[in-house]
Amino acid sequence: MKKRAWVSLVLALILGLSTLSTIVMAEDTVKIGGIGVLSGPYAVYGLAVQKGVNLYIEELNAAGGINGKKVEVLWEDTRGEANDGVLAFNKLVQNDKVVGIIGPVLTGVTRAVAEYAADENIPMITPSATAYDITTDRANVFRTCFLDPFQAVQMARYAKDEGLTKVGVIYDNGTEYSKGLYEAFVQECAAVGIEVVATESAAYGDVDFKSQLTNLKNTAPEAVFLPYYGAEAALMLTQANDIGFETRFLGADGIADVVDSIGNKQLLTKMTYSDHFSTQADSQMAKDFVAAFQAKYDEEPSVSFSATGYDAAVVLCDALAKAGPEMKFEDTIAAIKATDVEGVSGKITFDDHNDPIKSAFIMTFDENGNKLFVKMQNP
Amino acid sequence: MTLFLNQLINGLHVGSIYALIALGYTMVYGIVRLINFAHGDILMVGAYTAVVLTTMLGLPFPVVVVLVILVCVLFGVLIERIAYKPLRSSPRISSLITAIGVSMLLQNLALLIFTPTPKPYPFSLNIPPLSIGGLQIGFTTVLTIVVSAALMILLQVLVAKSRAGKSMRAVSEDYDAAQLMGINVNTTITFTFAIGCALAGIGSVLYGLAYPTVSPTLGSLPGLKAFIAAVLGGIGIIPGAMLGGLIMGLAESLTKAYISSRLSDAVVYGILIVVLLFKPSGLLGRRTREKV
Repeated sequence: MKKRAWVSLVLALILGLSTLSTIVMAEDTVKIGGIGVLSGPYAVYGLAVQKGVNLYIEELNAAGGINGKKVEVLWEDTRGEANDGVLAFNKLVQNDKVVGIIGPVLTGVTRAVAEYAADENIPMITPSATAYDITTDRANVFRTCFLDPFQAVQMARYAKDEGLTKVGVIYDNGTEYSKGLYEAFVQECAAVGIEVVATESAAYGDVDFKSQLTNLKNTAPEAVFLPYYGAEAALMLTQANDIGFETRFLGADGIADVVDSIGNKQLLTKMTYSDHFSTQADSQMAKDFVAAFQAKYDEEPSVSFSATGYDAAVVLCDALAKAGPEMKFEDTIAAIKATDVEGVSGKITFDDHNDPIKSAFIMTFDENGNKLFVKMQNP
Repeated sequence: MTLFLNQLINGLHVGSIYALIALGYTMVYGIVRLINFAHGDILMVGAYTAVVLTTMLGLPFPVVVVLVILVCVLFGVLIERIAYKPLRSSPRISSLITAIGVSMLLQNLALLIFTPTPKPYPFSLNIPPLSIGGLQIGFTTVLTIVVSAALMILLQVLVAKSRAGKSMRAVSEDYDAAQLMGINVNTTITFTFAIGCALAGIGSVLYGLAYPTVSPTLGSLPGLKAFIAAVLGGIGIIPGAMLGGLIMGLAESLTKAYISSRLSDAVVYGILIVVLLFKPSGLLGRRTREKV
């Protein structure tokens, strides 16, 4: 009997102390939950986000934190699984009582977690999930990466700024990415007064585009929009060159890896595309970010999700600072909605669908296939 | 008009490549009645050989072409000796399944060694297109059409005039009788595989110049198309493979240009079905077929 009493006493003491300590902790730090894929085949994206977020939090804490309180990010690994994402979310919200969530990273996991986040109405910002429906009807869910169609809109505006009046389009009618970009591009062209003189399509998996390119060539467009990934774009640039089709090519973020699949790098100088971030960006904030990232991690922030992760942290912390000392969820959400801050990937505000209205990075290549930053295309 | 001519030339370009590969299918079928499904993958072997030789050894283009042909021939002969020869007297279905197995083996080996990420083909002929009248024709296109035509004529002459060609025809006509007449059947079969794979090797170079990304599944699609070309023209008949390849290339290109890219495969396969309905032995197939 005596022994049992001792045991219960000790247990009670431990329990009491631990609750006490969490209360004390909660008072000095602002806790943010970080959810991302930190291991497995997609870890490169999650780790990029984590590095970006941690970098900003470190800088923020060095500058005094939020209203004098230090900020702490508690990271949970989803391993790329929706189930683990939900478990991580529950742990962060129920045990750690975080005031906001950054993540998840992958679209599938984000879709699952967003469902739970909507029930809790906790502010959540994903730096990388691009599927349209993730933020639909969820007032508390935001993102800092732009959607695929948004890039096409920016490319059409860039074409307008370049003084182009006649463009052609070739797209893959078998992938959602290509079709989505194509539709948005054509719509925006109509809006800004660029004539789409020819529209060609190709089936998924095709390697021969000469027939379509010959048709395009026949209409003499000033540029051709290619909403494709690198491997197909490489084939198209080579075949266009083969048939003597001299024109400019425009594309979106899928083009970024074209340099790995093209032999004749010279052809890349005709290609212009949009990306989420460039390490050569000319804003002071982006330069500082690249330098700080380099200093902390000894590598370039080459995966652009480091930049969107950093920006997610910027947006969330900015909103928490404005939400007042209690950091109530609804106040933070209202503050995110009203966001108007400068991030490393450009100026960020949110639209009605909680998608960022921000700048696209217009990029091209030099004759050796190195990426060159052209300019920021501001919304 | 120029547009139409340009589209015809595009079709001839693709068609010549199909025809070149189809020759390999048709010759092997003519001799051993085997559809060598690994033939398309020889194209992939050739493409990766070019990548390895250039990126690792830095050899110049003409040397690489010769070595690519040799490696393709070597693969073809080895596949024949290791996989098909032991099955020569087994039911035909066994060899057919083995052929599919060899194809998978080659693709997965490439996947293992080279990873699925596509690599750029190491050469590109950066020669401006030729202008003939109002027509602009790509140099690669001209090269492909000319080389393929020359090879087909050469092959016809080889089969019709040379001693080896004579024994090929004899073996395809009657395997046992040829053996009785003192023809070395094994050598003849090996020779047929070697010629087919040499053509595939040259095909891989022309294919690489036209479609300069190399991936482990590179050979599947042209392999399938070439097989269909061979069937369309009449499998086992050399001029049939050429005709079938050209028809397929033209049909594909013109459908893409004037109807819809979505329908190009449907049109090609539709032609095949119609032809086989009316002439089951293919366009040039005869009742008493002269094989190879």
